[in-house]
Amino acid sequence: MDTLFYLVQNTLPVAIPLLLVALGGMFSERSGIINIALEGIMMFGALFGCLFVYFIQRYSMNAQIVLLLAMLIAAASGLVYSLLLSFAAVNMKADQTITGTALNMLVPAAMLLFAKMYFNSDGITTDMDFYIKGVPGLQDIPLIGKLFFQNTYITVYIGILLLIISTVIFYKTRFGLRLRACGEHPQAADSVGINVYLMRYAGVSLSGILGGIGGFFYAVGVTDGNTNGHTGVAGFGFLAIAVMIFGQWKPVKILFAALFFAFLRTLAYSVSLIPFLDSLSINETFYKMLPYVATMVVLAFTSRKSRAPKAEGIPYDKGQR
Amino acid sequence: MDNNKIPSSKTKLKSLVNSKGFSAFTAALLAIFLGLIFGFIVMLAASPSNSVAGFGTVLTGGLKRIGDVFYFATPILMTGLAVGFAFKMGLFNIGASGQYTMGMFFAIYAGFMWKLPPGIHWIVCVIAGMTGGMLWGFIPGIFKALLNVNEVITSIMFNYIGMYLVDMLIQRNATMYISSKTRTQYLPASAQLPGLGIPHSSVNISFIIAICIAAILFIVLNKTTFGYELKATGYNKYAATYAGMNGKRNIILTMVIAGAMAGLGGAFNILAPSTISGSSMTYEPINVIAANGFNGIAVALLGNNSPIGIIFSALFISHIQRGGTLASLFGYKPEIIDVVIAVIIYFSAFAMLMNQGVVKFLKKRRNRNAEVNKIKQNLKGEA
Repeated sequence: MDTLFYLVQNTLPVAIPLLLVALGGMFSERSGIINIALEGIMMFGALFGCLFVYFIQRYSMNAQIVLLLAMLIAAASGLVYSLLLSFAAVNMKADQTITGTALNMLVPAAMLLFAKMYFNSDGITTDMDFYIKGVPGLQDIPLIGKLFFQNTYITVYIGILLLIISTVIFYKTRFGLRLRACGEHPQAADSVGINVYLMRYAGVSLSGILGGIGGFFYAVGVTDGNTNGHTGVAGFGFLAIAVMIFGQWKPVKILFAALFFAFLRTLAYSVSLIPFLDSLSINETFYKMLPYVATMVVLAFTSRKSRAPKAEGIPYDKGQR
Repeated sequence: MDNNKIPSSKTKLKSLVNSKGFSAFTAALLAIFLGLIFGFIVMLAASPSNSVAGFGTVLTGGLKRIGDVFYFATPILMTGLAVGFAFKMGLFNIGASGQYTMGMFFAIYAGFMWKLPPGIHWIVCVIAGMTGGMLWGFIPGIFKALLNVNEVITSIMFNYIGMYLVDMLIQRNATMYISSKTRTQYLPASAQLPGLGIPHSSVNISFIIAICIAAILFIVLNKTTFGYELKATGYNKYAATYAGMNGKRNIILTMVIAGAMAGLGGAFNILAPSTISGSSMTYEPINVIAANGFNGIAVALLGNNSPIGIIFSALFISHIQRGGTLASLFGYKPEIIDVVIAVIIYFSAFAMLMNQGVVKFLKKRRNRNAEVNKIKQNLKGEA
């Protein structure tokens, strides 16, 4: 039972970055822009979030408040960085995949350069403790308290909150409907007076915000408040794209897909703690490979009936009908 | 005199200037220019006093190490071909890293585990590397053609799978791996690529092979039915299918060839004897995706995906990388070149459009100047 508690407690902080970033990808793709730059946006958010924590940690503020402020910084920086993608993809009608790849390559190089120049290391190291031993009042509920309110991070609750907000925006507002229309048939959307360019900017910007937050939450929940130019976010941006496809571009399905991948990853990194898996004595690198292999297996089965937005990846040209 | 039928040198030049290849060339130059400017600004911000000397080193440093430029250009030339060839069909082969890593593994495996006579051993290793890359290109091809999985996702996933797999296989192989040094042994001499005998440089036969392969790909693309079908599919997939081309077979074949290119790049990299320590002949399983695969994307885009263009862009990228390494003499970190390359790719994604904008602007100005002159002359005539 303790193993189960351990796995759930460790899965959630890993699942949240995947969830948020996949939601970001969803907003972007449903508006018609393929956002392969999520990995770079995550790292950018993580960099600025961690930088903020680094400079503020000496003032002995409450750790959770610092986390919230850093989250806002990460969101803003993710938004700014994503503008580079929307500018290229919307205004310049550039190839979205290439632009995304360039943006992905830029961040690790820039982060290494920056960290080597000013910190003489490969990344930003902070020593603030965001860990929550238990949520007062809630941690004593039998079973649920132990599963969800002990040994965790505040990121988990913020993530769930953002999921709810995103779902409401996506399905229950006029904006969400218009956004989705732009990803399916931009010409039709334009013909009823929707500004396709603006909507696509909005979609990519939302993915920048969620991607930046997701990157910072990765740094908090997975790498203990540090970020590093060599390992970055370990392919979480790409995994998030796979999660999004697995979740069929729908918020709630994305939640379950993210939990699935996060669980596999947690399993891979805690093999030595699980007696059954440990006794098999398989090389631990094999388990590290597992989330990626699982992604491929899942995609192989789900992609045939894929419900990708119809107009994604195609620059919108007013003159084209 | 009627000389319309004889193309004068001026009209020849004009047709060259208006050709598609030329506009791609100027677009690449524009992207490079903007990328370098960005790099210079970063250097200026980092340390203003050294920036001019440092930037000069980035630009010209490679000339002093021309052998190294060729040496380091070879792997990225191959990964560039891997990306560019697939691009011609509209496939984005971001998985060159994984294919490259597999190529390295197969080559190194053949190098250590098979005992062969000296003249043949390295050839077998190169072919083994090619096979490894082909295998890793075949998988995304199958996924794309038969299961409709986006090749970008597949190849990214297989970058990671390949990297972990190779690290695992090498760590478990006691013949190759020295666990106290966390790397493999150095390859036996018979598996090493023969050098070209140029003093003070590590340039070897692989560079010549790479150029030949680029030429072969050029012929395949431009002179064969397969190349025609490939390009037709790249332009319009539905039209190609309608015209009776077998899209699925072509996708798989293209990815296999692309994988073979990247695999060869890996083999050339690891089998090349080098005076620069730690750069070849041994593999370190450190769970990092091979950077040369991603540099291949830059090379391919800069070379406009044409095999001939890729030769020059590989040399250019290698050149500024050498320059970047030398710029550390002025206190600059070599990562600045990675930043510059990323910026170059970013701009090259829409450089064609910018280029057209610049041309339009110039033409407008020229026309306006002509008009102004005309009006001036008219005025003069009246006066």
